[in-house]
Amino acid sequence: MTDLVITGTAMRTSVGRNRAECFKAFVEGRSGVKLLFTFDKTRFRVQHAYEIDDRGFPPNERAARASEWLVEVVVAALAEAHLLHAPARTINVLVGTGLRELRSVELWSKGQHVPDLEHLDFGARLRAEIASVGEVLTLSNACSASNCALALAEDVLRLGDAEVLVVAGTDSITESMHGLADRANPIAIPTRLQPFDTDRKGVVLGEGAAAVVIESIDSCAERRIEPLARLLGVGMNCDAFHETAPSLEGISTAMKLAHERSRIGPNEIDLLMAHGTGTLLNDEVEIAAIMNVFGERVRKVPITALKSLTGHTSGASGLIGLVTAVECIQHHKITPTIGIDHLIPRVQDLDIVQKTRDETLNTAQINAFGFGGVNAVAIVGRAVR
Amino acid sequence: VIGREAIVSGIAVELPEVGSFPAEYLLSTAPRLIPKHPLDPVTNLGRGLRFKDRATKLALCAAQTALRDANLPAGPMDQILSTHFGVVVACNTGNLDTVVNTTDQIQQGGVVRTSPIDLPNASSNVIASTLAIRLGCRGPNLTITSGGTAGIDALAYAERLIRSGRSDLILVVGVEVRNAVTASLFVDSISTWLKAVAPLELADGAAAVVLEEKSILASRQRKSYAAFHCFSTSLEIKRSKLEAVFAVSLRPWKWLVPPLAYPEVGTRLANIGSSAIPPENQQDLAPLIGDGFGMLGVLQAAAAAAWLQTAPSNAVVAISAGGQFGGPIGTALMKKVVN
Repeated sequence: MTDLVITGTAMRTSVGRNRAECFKAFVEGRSGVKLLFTFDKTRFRVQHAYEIDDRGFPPNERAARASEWLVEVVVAALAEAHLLHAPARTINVLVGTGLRELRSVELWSKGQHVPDLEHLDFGARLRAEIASVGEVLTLSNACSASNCALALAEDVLRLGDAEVLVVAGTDSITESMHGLADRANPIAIPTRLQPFDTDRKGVVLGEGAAAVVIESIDSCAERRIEPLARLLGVGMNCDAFHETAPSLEGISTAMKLAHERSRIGPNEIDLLMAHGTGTLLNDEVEIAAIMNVFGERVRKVPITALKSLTGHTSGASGLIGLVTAVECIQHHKITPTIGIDHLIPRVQDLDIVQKTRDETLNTAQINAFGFGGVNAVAIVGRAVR
Repeated sequence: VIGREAIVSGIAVELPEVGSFPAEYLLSTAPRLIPKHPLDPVTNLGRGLRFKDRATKLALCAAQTALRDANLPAGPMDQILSTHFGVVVACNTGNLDTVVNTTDQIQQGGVVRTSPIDLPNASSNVIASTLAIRLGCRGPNLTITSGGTAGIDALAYAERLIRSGRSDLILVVGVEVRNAVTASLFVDSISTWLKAVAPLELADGAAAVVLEEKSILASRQRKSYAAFHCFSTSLEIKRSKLEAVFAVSLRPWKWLVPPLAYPEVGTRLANIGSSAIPPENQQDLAPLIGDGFGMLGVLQAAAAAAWLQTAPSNAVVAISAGGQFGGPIGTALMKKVVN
């Protein structure tokens, strides 16, 4: 089977305009949570979000922001991989997203934007702005979308249907999703996202985008490019259980599939980037599944939850986690889970990383689970020199 | 992985506004004579779907019919089969009314006006996940929203999921819904692009095809409708590949084309060889159904599969969808299965 390598990465979140800024903020434990920028605060109970501050001051609402970040991260990842000026229409892009450009549809319905079905998905915008981009797949797989796109890319490359691909994720916050998450909240009103805390109050949405260039090791060698990391494998399945509640069996299976496909066991995982949404049920079930799959190893594997810093970036979150994991491997650091005042009792024996730590890492696992029980777990490894 | 091939083993079409009929009627000479069905198919669905949107219900109707056609249970399957049973849905419009209505409710009375029941319906993947829950599909579950090529993209990625070994069985469903929100967004977007009145309305309906790994289908001794020869999910990019195919032995006997009412579509098809196909063998379903948009590719695959069943063994059908806003046109070549 063809080995796959990552040769370019990029990300943008509420705490950084590019990969370096984001990783610096993560290492420093800086959160991107703020009061809502543009939504009418009198209409919501949840007043906070991890929004990207790109609308000036006072903030001026505009459409298609997720598309703007997507173009930025795809350009940056292609540039790092020396592919930005590849021949026209030769690089295909798989975009995972939870909320597409549904914010533009909301603005259209309020009379604040033109009718624009053309840009509800990301193909037209990417092709218009980047000459080397060819086919674009928009995959709307909820909160695991970009990891699901990574699984599809793995198949394309391993089957030899392409040599190089870009996988990306992007999501801006919609009023409807912010409102419905607020409405469905069973307990007190969250002001921040607190994975693994006994007093966690639920999801606070975030904005962000990430992109990675993936290619076969042969393509990378032929182009004389230094790989940043290896993509070992992606497991993908569906709970077929409940629309919004996670299934212990389903997410355990997704992790086992990822290990099988990567041909490694839990003992060889050096870092676990948890999905960690900070909701009562999700954190409990994810921890139970990790205990289930990792067995004895569970006390030793460092676990961290990026959403404590970025908020829940929906379909982009998996790939933001993956880009961060590659940075962690390269910089020998583990980014922290911030905001834990009282650790959930059942994770007290586990290694939940709460302060940035220096550590040599060879592999990392990135969990992503979405509405409807769509699960995708990716494993990356240090590049072999 | 070597030697795995995806075969169409079941098909279904649900076009309530056109009528109630099997997929092969779509390529018959007199589709206008199809008798109207008095009932919306979604009214025949069982219990437990009260809070589901229309797109989900239409998709479920098509899915159940296609599974029955493939002689598979149209309900939860046993554990072993279900882990290799995937779902790929192509849909652009399914949740737009929920998103717009929720935004209205928030604007009018704040979040307390909204209903928590709408939370799953606001997510763009509610159709695929509901199909998985109802039918017990624990394999890959994808929702493709790539505009007019979504249906062809769905077929291409479903075929690849079988080839790669991630799945043995995939339910591919294309669905679009026309309601106050989607009808207006569609027509206004097309009119803005054309700077003229939109020539077509958005279609309302669903289609489904069951793709099954060849050896597994053979072990069940069930009928094989068709296999896929190749895909191009963006006409111009893989032009040379398709040109070569169209020029020689695989020249399609029939070509199901994207809406010809849109500018450039006819020219772009001619550029890759449509002129070699007699006009009577090219079929545009838009006059019958409207613009099938993301659903069209799956609908065409169902119709082509039905037609191929009674066609000679060397018959080939091309299906092409897309072209809205001058965007990509996806194409697939389908052929008879030679045993």
